[in-house]
Amino acid sequence: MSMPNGSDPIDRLRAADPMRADDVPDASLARVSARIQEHIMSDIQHTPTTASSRRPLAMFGGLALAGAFALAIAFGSGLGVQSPGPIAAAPTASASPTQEPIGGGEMAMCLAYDPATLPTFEIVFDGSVTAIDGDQVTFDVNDGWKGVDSTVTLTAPATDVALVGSMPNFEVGGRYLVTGYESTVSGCGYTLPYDADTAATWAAAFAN
Amino acid sequence: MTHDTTTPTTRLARFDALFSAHQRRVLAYAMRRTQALVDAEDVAAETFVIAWRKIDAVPTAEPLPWLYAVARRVLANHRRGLGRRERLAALLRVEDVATPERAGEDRDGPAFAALASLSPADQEVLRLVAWEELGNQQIAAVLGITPNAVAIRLFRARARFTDALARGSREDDLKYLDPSRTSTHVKGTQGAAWKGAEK
Repeated sequence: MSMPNGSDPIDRLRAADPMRADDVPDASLARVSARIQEHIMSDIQHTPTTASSRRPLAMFGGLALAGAFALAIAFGSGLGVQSPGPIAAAPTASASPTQEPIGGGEMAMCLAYDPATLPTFEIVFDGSVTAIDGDQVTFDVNDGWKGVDSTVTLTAPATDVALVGSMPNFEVGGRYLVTGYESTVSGCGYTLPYDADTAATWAAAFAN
Repeated sequence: MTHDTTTPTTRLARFDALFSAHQRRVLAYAMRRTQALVDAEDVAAETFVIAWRKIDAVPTAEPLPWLYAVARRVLANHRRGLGRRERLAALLRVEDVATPERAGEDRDGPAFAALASLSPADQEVLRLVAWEELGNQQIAAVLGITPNAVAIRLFRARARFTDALARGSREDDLKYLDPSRTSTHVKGTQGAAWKGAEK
């Protein structure tokens, strides 16, 4: 069994990879993201009101935010657009008045912000950025409320295509209040530049 | 291991992390196996919608093989639907938007020709190794077979692929000596080239 050029045949096939993941068009990802958002919003809109359905209760019962699950929906022009329109959550009374509307990002699909849900995240802390390497952001933890020790490195997803909502533009030396899940920074207003009042609210969420 | 995501915030946060981490790989998987960009986007979107609806079943430690397994089933359903759609399109003279060219070897190149000459099962196990860069355990999760079966299938597929490459190389040599000789390469079926894909 001869092998052309003496090379590993798998390497030949690897070199012929028709679409490396890094080369996937952003516009395609945006269209895929928009499609998913439509389905998720449809699921969310159609499930909570039916008393006979148990699934919505499982999905949404944990929030206990009667009436606060207000989702301001503003679909963009749908498929075939480069930047689908926002699907953003309306801020609730519990949101800090100094904050931007929660989940106001270009691609945001977020729930109403409520500090009471902070303990449901895997990672919650007040930290200062010490290094940024691509999408990897390293923090020195000033106050770790959940899931972190002294330092932590998290992935900050690209906000232009992810379903992450608003996300601060991390800078080395900047101080932030951060939530995360599976080593990825969470958006939707649950990660934001530090301010003392919001930090006190976050600390209170873990006081009990 | 799976996660219990009992609140919408945690469900969305988990799905957000899953989508952010794997969107490119899943779309690339679909683009490698479809002829039209819109089909690849359909497959990727449907895969993630299923992941959203079954988020509690997505393995925490290694979700990518799970996503590929879902995408594989979605792709199979899509191909069945595509057959019907193509028959209808032929009747109505409707055509898909042409896919952009892709960056790798031309679809008529020797590696694609050799791959296309193999059985679908051999093709898929080789693609999962070479393009998705999965190990035997991960491939087993995608294909729903044992890692041992993957190893055996991969060993045989690799040998057949090597033979097919060698055959193609000999035919190319003969073509060089006698330009009137036509190639017996099987046309590639791995999708179009995506070189000009919009970024």
